[in-house]
Amino acid sequence: MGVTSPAQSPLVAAGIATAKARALTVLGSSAKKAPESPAKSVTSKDAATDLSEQLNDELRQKYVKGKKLGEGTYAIVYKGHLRDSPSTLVAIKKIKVNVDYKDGLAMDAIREVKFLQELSHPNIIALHSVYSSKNQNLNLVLEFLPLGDLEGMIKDTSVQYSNADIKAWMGMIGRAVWWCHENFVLHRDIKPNNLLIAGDGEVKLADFGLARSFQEPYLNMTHVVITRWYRPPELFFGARHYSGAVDVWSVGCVFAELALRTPYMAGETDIHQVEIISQAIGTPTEDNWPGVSKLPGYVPIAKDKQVPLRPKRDFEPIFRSIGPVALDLLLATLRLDPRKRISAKGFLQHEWWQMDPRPTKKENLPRKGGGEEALGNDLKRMGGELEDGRADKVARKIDFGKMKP
Amino acid sequence: MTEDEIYRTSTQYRLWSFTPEKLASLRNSTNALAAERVKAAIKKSRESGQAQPAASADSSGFSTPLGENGQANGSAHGDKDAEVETLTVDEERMLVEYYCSQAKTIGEAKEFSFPIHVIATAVQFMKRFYLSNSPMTYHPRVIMMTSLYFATKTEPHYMGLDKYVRNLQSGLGKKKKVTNEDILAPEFILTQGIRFTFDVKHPFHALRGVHMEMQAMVEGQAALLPGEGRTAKEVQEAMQALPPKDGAMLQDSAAALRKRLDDAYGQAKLTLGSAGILTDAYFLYTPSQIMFASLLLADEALTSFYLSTKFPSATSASTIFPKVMATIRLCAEMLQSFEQLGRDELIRIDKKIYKCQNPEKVDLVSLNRAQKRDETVDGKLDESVAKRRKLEREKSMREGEDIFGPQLEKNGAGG
Repeated sequence: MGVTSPAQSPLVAAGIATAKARALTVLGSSAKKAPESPAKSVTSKDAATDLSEQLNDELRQKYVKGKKLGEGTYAIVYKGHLRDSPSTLVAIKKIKVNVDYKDGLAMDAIREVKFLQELSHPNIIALHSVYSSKNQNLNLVLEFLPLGDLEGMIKDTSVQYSNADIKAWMGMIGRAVWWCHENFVLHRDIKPNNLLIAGDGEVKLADFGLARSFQEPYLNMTHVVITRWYRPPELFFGARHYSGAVDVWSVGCVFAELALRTPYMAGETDIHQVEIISQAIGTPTEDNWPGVSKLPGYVPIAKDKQVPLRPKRDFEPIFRSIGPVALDLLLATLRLDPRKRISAKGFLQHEWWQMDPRPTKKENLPRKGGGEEALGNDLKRMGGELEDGRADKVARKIDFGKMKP
Repeated sequence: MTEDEIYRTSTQYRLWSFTPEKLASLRNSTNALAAERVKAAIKKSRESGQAQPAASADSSGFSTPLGENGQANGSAHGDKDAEVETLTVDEERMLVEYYCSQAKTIGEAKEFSFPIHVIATAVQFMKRFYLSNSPMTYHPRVIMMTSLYFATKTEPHYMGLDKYVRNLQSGLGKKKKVTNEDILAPEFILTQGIRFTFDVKHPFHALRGVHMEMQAMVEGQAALLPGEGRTAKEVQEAMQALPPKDGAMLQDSAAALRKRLDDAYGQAKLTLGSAGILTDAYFLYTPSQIMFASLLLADEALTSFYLSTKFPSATSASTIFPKVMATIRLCAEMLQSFEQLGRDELIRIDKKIYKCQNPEKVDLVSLNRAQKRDETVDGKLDESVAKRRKLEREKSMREGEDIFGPQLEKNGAGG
């Protein structure tokens, strides 16, 4: 009952097909034009599908799924290509149905689809299309990015890169984050292995599984986001109202990591991370960050244990390689008080961009192999998660109970 | 890049904005398609002699005019030979609009108290869904409950399914039972129907922004555009000299002007939350056009004054400004002409849809289960699944042989 197809007369089928073809034209479907002689070209299967099913089928037919690039608990990533153009490669991310999640389509998938559908920018991974396959699995057709990620670049000791290369990468990252913020989107998980590298050398921000829109000013947001090493102090203190400044801190951490070729502030626990930030930048106090003591998770530090805000000269020996103006910009991204932190727009307008060296052209940036596998690994991962052996597995469980106003 | 250009990259603009003609044509096609399919499905179910479970068309609870009327007399598709009378495009639209207003009523009820943007998103999901689906295929009552739930996930204003269902149940009362599966079963159909675009842009932020900007104007602190000949002080004075609204007293004091602003803001906000989301405005206009239209209805003089400060140069004032105003006026007319569907009309349509529900899509919970069990909706087993099952069958037959020993010989020793 209910699941069998109506036996339709050809005439009925033809009427349906004509109506459907008209509707599909309005919806901008590529394939369907009103058939010249509908009765001949229509199958009963065609007439029995919904409009949206048919649009979906058309999308699915556009791509061919190839070999598996990676599999995680959240998704399987395949290499794929356009059916009509086998040389046009794509990555197909098939979202797994989470059996433990009883609330329907998972939040990660919803967030990722929601934001990537809207954000179109050269430095943000492109979502070409979304379709469902059998068993209601969601498939995201993403841009194919074969050259690995920035983490691989940083860790690969055989790769040499210069200040001009760092500048090129930071420009791309800055533009990606600026575009998100310009569209009122917080990424909330910026880190080197979410920064993927395209065939032409362009860096692309990926994994929007933790992203969200800027909140209404009076509503709360969760503070359990961003992988620990890249997470700003206000989130450790439980801030429920925050801004693009959280992403900018992460950008600063990536900047420092590119310069040092090792994570700049790698805490083993949340408490340890706050200690490391205090040691590196200074202890957050009412003096350097008015209002910080009112944040719910703030723990006062005894006067004699406080590290005063470090002056620029303390950083110079560590970051000598990038030069003093780049260091100014770096420090502007790592200000404790989020209100004093530079904005993504300010980041792009900094005087460093006017100075030598000029950023390396993307086609001349250093490259490394092994990218396909890295792409599979990067895309299958859930937000807030580091690879095994790199500590941490945070931020996944967002406490929705606390999110209500 | 201008804000207009950014807006044009959105899915709301690319996929969900139409000319009035295209919108009408889409609805006509969807209706024609669904009507043919309903007739075919009902004919088939009559021929097979199966009694079809009727759609529960009531909605009860949350103070709705529908309720006891849902269950019409006798079996839904009982009359063997009568031609099925299907819904017209207008009836479909009115029914969807009614259930959109129900989504608002439920979302605003004390059980939920959702912020307006959650409700508005749910309503747009429904409206978008019914551009390519018919209420005859999927009853809007069912899609409404799922849309509202799905909007809590996309906005995000997440409360968890258990709690959502509990709250919904407490609002609906004991008469109507809702389960978690009732909400989840149509979720996939909904997401596919809205083409996996989950972002909806609303006019509420914009209204708040304009309100704040006008407050600054009243205080003589407006940040004016380059090319504006007047100073902030002069803008303040011009604002105070505006003709009063509807024969009210001239607002000689700043306090009176402030009140005028707040009144306009409050009224516009109400319009946005009702006619703004329930009409076709989102399909035909941009969020800012809808916002200005609602403000224009609240206080025309104030709104055109504010807008005039946005076109400081003589050329833009004479060319673009009139165009903008004309569009806003068209949108305002649409918002103003909105009226809730009358009770009698609603009951008539509700009775009608009870008789023309596609019997194959009534039990979405079973359909969803079937689909998750690897079966496609039209009943044909997917090839790979069929193959797998065949292999399983063969395997179990082989194993069966092992367990029970070899097959008996045809004329072997019986007894």
